[in-house]
Amino acid sequence: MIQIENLTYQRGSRVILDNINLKIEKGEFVSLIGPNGAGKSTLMKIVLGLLNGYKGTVLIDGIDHRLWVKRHNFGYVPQKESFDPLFPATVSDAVKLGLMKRRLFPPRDAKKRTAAALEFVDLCGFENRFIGELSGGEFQRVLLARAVAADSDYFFLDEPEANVDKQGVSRLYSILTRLKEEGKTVVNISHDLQTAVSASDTIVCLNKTLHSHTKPELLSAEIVRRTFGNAVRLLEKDHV
Amino acid sequence: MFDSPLLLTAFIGVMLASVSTSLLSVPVTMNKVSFMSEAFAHITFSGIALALLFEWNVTAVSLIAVIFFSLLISFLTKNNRSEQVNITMIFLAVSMAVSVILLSFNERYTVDLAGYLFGNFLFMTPADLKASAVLIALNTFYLSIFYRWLFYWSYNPKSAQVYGIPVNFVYYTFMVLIAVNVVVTVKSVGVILVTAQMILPGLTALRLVRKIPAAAAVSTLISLTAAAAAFFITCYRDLPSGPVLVCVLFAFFLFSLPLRFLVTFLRGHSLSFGRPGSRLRQ
Repeated sequence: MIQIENLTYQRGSRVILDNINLKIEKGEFVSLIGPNGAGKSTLMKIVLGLLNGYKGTVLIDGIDHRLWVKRHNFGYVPQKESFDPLFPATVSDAVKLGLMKRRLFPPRDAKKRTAAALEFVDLCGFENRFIGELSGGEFQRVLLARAVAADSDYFFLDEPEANVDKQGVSRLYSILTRLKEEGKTVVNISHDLQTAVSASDTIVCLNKTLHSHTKPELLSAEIVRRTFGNAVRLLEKDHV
Repeated sequence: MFDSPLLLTAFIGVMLASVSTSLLSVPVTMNKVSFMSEAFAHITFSGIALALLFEWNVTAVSLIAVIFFSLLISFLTKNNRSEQVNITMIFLAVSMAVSVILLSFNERYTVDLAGYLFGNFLFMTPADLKASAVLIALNTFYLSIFYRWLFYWSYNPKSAQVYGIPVNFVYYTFMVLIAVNVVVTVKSVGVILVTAQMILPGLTALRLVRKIPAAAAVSTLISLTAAAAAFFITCYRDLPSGPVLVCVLFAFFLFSLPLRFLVTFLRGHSLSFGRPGSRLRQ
């Protein structure tokens, strides 16, 4: 379980997150939605111990999140992962990063676990392909395979559908749904409201403050408008 | 030729120095941090100038100076790789300026200066051979133990950090290792040319083979062959050793260009390792 209590984060005088209180149960599929600059990625980075200088408490499975992150594996799919396309890393290399926590060398069963993770994301036979040769959707699934290989109960995804076509997005969400069915906790930042609503157990509407933390079926157009502002008038009730 | 102990020492010295730098050449090329080795070479020159002025041990003073400044530069730039180039270049220019000022106090400097700037195999002493041998052992140990960490740090430091790679440790130790290699190699190719010896073998190897361990082996082979060729050309033609070595390494690089076309043709792949027209992912 992830517990966030009275979390406030400021960058200079600008408040990015204001007194956030949130509880994510184990095995829950949670989607964080909100406009650009709402603090979604910041919240995820704080939970993963990648950002300091905040006020409040973050606990994962009852222990301080920084300690938890040091001790445990977790799956993470970033919004973007920049790399030189000529960098000589294969798909197998990229996936094995998920197995490197507190290790100098990959574990003995790394090959088996890599193959299983690639099979999970429908990328069988991609092991020796160079990552610079992959399409955006394929690369995103490699990142997901890396998260799967980490063999954690927690998955954190920061807009995994970015740079992926519609078919790729639905394939991505079917993989995430399978993860949820296996009892994994999925925390997903999304701009694709419709897909997020259909796949998630809980929708968290965030825009500096927490506007709503509700089941998808209870998400009203009013909540969405409050979260996104007037920019989403088009997203009226029947679209949500 | 090898009846002369001086020449024998020089030959062994240049071969050992070639092996040590070639081992680091692939990771340096992969990380695109050749400008760091350039800056460390100039900082080494400040150490040399200081040692010559006060008649101290040149290698010891250079080593202390370069390790201190490599850690300082790494600290100042560790969270901002885009600033890394600017800050490193500032240190490069300032260290060169300090070197020239220090040397201006020393009336004897013209005797040694050209050798330190452009390299001279004959500067090699038995102590340098020992230092090079220790360095080969150190490089081999570091790369065999921390290869995976270095690989993932080079690929993407942020992702490496998320998945538990101690990126700060990798960054600092790698920079110090480059710095130490520069100090030991300076005698064979000189301050001005050491960067070429640091990147050309690795760059050439990576054009021919994709896998890092294979590239490291090819890099070492290229470096050793070039060093031997340069040594004999230098002896028989009485040419400056450092520039000859760099020119031979560059010849290997030029030769690798058509060879790469051939290799990729035989593999049946496209010429680019990435997708055609692919850019750096943002």
